[in-house]
Amino acid sequence: MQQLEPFPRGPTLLAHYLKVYTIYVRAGWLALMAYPVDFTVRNLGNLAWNLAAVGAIWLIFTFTGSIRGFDRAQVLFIYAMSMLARSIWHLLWVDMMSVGGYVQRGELDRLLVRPLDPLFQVVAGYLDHDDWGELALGLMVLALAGRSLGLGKQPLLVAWTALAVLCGSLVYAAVHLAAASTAFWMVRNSAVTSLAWDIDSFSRYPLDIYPAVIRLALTWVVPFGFAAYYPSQLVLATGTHRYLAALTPVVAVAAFAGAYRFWQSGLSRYQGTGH
Amino acid sequence: MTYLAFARVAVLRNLTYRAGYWMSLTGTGSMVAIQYCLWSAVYSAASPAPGGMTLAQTLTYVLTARAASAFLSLDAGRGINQRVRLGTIATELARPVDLQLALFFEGLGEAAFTLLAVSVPVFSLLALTGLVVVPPPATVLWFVASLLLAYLVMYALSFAVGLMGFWTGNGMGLTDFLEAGVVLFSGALVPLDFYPASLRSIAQVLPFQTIYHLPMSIFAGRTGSLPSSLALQAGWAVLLILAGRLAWHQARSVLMVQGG
Repeated sequence: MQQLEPFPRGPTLLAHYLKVYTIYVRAGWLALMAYPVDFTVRNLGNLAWNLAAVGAIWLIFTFTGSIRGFDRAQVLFIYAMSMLARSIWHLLWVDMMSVGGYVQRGELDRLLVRPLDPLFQVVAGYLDHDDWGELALGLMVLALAGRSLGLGKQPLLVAWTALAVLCGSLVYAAVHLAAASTAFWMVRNSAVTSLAWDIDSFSRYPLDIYPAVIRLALTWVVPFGFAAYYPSQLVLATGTHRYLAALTPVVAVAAFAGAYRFWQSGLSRYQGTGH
Repeated sequence: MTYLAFARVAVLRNLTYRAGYWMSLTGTGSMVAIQYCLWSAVYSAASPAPGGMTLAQTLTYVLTARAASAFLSLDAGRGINQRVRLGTIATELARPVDLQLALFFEGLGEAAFTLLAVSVPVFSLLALTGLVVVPPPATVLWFVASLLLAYLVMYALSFAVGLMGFWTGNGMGLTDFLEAGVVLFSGALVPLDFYPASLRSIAQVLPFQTIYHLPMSIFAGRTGSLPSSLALQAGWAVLLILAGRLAWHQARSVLMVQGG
């Protein structure tokens, strides 16, 4: 009779999760590549759509020199950071938005009986198929805008931008995880998840264009300001808020930790919707 | 009439499953807020009135466009894409109805619901707060007629592109291309008056401008000849509906249903 391996603990547990994650992502990628033409057409469509949105900003700067003191390269830099942060979250973790559906249909039970963290299973089990265009365009626009801001000669700022983009993805994850977790209390939570989905667009522009109440909300309540705008302040020559900018990694980790606690307290009261 | 039943079912479905409604409402609300802030910021620094439009005119144009965008959606094409992908199109084709007409009425039900439940409330709020300046009643009537024609053009375009999925197997990406074309050349986000001359002349020969630019320009009091705007819209609508009808007959014969 085959001996069961003991369940890993400590550092081996992390290695175990990494190994399982690699397997999940590989499986997801193979599934995407099963229909290569479809994958290509969809993501070119996604690229075109995002290009059109960037085009709208480009058009605005054909008749104005600056918006609230931000020039074209600066606005596009923030926009591209936000696109990148969003697309990384979207490609790897978007299925956390389906938690409401899992709870409604009782499918969460299936994840609870497996020997892996349920949230890990939700996010690892799905690799998104149609947001790769946003990722590619985000990289291109960030590189072009970064070059005209003179980032080429400043490797430290490039490294900061890369770190900030990852922190931005974590901010996205935090907000959407918190929104998704409301499913444990209200079951039908589409009003909350769709609100989170739509207000993420506020992260794409300099916060200076919004009235004070929205700026405060995007800083301290739903911290989408830290997805691109605040961290960009260390990169832009005209940047203000440098202290808040430096706090980006702390805010991102704290926001995600808070959202994870909220998820766990919801999970602990989950009793299934009955079948 | 049999086909009205399709519209009725679409309305009832929307009343029951509210996830789509919330998406539409929060999406429209956020975009209205962002566009208001963005354009106010643009005008605070801008050189005198870009494109010859005042801030009030631009806000009226852009915010009304956002409120209408829920109604002017590309769901017709996406609906066909979905049916081809899932294979349900096969059973639907077997029913004793003209499927193209049935889909049109279903889309009309959806659109009527979104118009009354999202576009009209958002628009009313904008009009009451004075962010949107409502023109004299006669202009409003012209605008309503123009908006309905815009719906027809959008529907026909979306339907025709959705049909291409019959040939490619999956039309989801194609509808995104169409949406990109609409965003760039319809004046949905930036009024065409602000475009560089070269881009504007491209936009003027494409059907997209009849979806946002013409109705919103009428509403913002920026149109010289109202009848010729509406005639252009009607012309594109008829042309695209006929093209869709023709493609529909071709498409039925190449349909390959996958899986099930």
